[in-house]
Amino acid sequence: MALDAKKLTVAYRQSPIIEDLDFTLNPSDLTLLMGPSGSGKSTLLKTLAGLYPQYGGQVSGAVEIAGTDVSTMPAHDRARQIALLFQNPDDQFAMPTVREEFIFALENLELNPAEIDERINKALAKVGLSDFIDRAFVTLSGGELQKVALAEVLALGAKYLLLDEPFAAVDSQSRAELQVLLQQLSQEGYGILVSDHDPAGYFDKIKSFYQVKNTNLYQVNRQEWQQYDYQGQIKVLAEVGDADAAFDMNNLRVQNGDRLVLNQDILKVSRGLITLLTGPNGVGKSSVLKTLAKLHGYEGSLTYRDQEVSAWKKREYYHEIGLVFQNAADQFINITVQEELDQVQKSSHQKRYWSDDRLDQWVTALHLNGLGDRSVYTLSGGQQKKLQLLLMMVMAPTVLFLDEPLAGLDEQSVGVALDLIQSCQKALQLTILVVSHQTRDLVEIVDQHLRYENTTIANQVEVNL
Amino acid sequence: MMNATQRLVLAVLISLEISLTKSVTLNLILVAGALSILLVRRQSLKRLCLYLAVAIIPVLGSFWSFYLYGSGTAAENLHFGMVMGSRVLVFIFIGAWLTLGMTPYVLLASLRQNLKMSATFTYGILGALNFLPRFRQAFTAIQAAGMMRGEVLRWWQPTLYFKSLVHAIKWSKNLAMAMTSHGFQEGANRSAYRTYPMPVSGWVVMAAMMAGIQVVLFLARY
Amino acid sequence: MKKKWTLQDVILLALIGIIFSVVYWVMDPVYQIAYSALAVIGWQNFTTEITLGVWMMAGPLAAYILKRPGAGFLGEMLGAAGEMFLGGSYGVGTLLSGLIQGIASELGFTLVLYKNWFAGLWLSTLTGTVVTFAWDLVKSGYSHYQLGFLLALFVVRYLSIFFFAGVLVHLITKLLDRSKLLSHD
Repeated sequence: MALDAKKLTVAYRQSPIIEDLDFTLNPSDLTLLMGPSGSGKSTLLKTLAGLYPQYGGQVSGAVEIAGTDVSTMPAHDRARQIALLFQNPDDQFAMPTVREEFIFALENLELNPAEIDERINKALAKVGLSDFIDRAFVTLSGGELQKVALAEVLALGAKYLLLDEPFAAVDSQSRAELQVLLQQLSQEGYGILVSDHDPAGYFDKIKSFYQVKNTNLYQVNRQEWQQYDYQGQIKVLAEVGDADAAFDMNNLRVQNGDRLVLNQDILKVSRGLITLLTGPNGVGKSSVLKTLAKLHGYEGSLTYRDQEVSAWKKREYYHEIGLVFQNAADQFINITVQEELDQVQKSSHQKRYWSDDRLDQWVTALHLNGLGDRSVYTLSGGQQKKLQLLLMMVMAPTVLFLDEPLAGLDEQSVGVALDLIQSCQKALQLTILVVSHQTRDLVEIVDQHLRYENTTIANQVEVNL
Repeated sequence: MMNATQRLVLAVLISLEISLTKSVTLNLILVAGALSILLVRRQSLKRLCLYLAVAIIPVLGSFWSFYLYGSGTAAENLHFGMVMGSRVLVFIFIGAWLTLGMTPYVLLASLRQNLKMSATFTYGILGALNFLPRFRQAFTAIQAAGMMRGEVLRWWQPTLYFKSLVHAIKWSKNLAMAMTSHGFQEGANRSAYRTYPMPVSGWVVMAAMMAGIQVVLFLARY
Repeated sequence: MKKKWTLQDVILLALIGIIFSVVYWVMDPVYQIAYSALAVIGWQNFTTEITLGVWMMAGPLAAYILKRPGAGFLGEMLGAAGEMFLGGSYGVGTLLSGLIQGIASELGFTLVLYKNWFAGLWLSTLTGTVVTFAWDLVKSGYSHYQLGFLLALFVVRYLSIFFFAGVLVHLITKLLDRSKLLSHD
């Protein structure tokens, strides 16, 4: 018995994401799936879990467990076989507390109350969270949420576990604990497939390793694993002279829910430079970026041009600063690509720089030409990211925060995007702060590096690649 | 005494009754009754003051418009003004009684068991409630995204609502996928971990209340 | 026309209800401020009529998006229930208003037999006005007003519902249609 994909093709709005794939996940397998975001990992896992085509996409070929097509099983039967852990832990619980959530799930299997209690206790004990049974989800950290999500699918009895970038919002210690847990589960007979863009911590635990490339999977031989493990590679940036500060932090404290994510003494963000902010997953980078963008509250002092960010009027503040949102769709305010481009050209702070010719040139370089009449919501993830970046570069406010600007871009697009960021920054003297996992690419254009660990940020010339 | 379904039924019956009758006496008795239950159940004073605070303008407003602009005699207009003012108070305090210590979860689960509401609706609505706090963040982000582009999105323009719906569509899909993955199948049988029976005593109390209301209506002269 | 409600449809319906429960709840104090402001010029009786359209947006929008019988009624009911749980100024009266307003909006779509959603939307502004006005004649003692005044109230109410629950809802649905977010291809 195994989970088998046979001649599987998945397309989305006519463009194929996965083509003609044959793949098998056996019991006791622990398999890593790597590829940049936007390469189709999520789509593949949702199809393997039987959620596509019900929830989108056109699927041909089959996904089977012991000869039964998973997409035709009733959900309550499928849940006993196969489970998917979602990328965003916030979106996967229907109920407000751990207990209610487990009861909801186990009622779906028509279990009686005694068995429900027994399964909840057993599953929570397995992930070491027995005390969490009456906790509300809003009080849990990213790592705890994913452990509860794992316990929930164990309670349902699934034998095949699919995890879609499960560590995106998980701190490094929880990540390591969860990886050990996954290894134990595979040794007990569970078949596990986990997708990630970061290979750290996997290679001594997994049995096989695939790369997602060009709408298919490629198995990587064990001898070659090491070259993917670029842990420890470092690039040293040149020292920059003393630059003026755009932002000053002084005893700045930022909370995310109940958790203090930043407790910062004194730090400045330099004006007129590109600064890279790095740190482990779940440390609080997004919260800090939102705080700087006046989208998240804080205590202590954070000033922009010598005035408290909290005291700035919203309209005046957003006249000066802009955020390139992590989720591209959050950036859009019109419907078609052309409407969006026209709007920014009309409202740009640098109209002289952004001539028609220059705009056309970048539209073409980013392969966004010919898409003018398309709804921005029907673009691929990569096209959305490129358009979003271009829109904010044309707006060209004095300060720009970029939250994962390269996510989902292919290699060629990454190069163009970096060119765009760098040439605008140089020509217009913009202040740019960028948060990204893709440090290998960004390190080519950044002037300064801030390292964020355990609630504090410090200047650091070495960048981990 | 009464379970959540029974409380909801009684609250709707009472509000329907007072919407269609014009007795200041009945309204005041109902307000006094609801208020004393709230006090006995130790509803926080702060919350009670909040209820009174939100009540003031609508109560006075309802009173004044009919007192000043009614088409009857001065006495009729005064009476009708008092009816409309006290009616708002009944709505607010019966509403406070209904929501006192009752979560949407208990209400929906009771409705499901007592009135055979479909599981798809019960759990769909319950799941959606988790997103309430996230709409606030989304709303702030939408406005900020507009301002970063030099546009102030106004509440009477469609964009704010459209962008909220963009989030709603994405969340509905993500949550539905998660719930499906956790074994929820539309129309399938489920077991019930807890039961929410409707006690006979609840029906008795409800009948007594409604009878009492008819008696008050019959006796009251104002 | 799609028949059975899927889980995703219900969640979306409930989220529309939640969006508008917040809008409605925010409108409560706005209503009171508008009332006080209009009282200065003696027009406070028109406050309900001017603002009512906002409270009737959820129904037609839900009906248009979900394109199912009952969606308009349920969307409006959920918005009202949410407003009550958030602690709106009319307590349980909100539920009753939601019930009436839900039926009122739904009726417009029923009259075209759930076939032409565009026509249904415009009809719903009319049924929305007539039904809620009839209810207020009974409940809010509008029958105590003189006829000319009643006529004025009716016209203002229709304009409010026409703008918010008609024009604005139509513009929102046009954005949604153009975005192709709800097309499944």
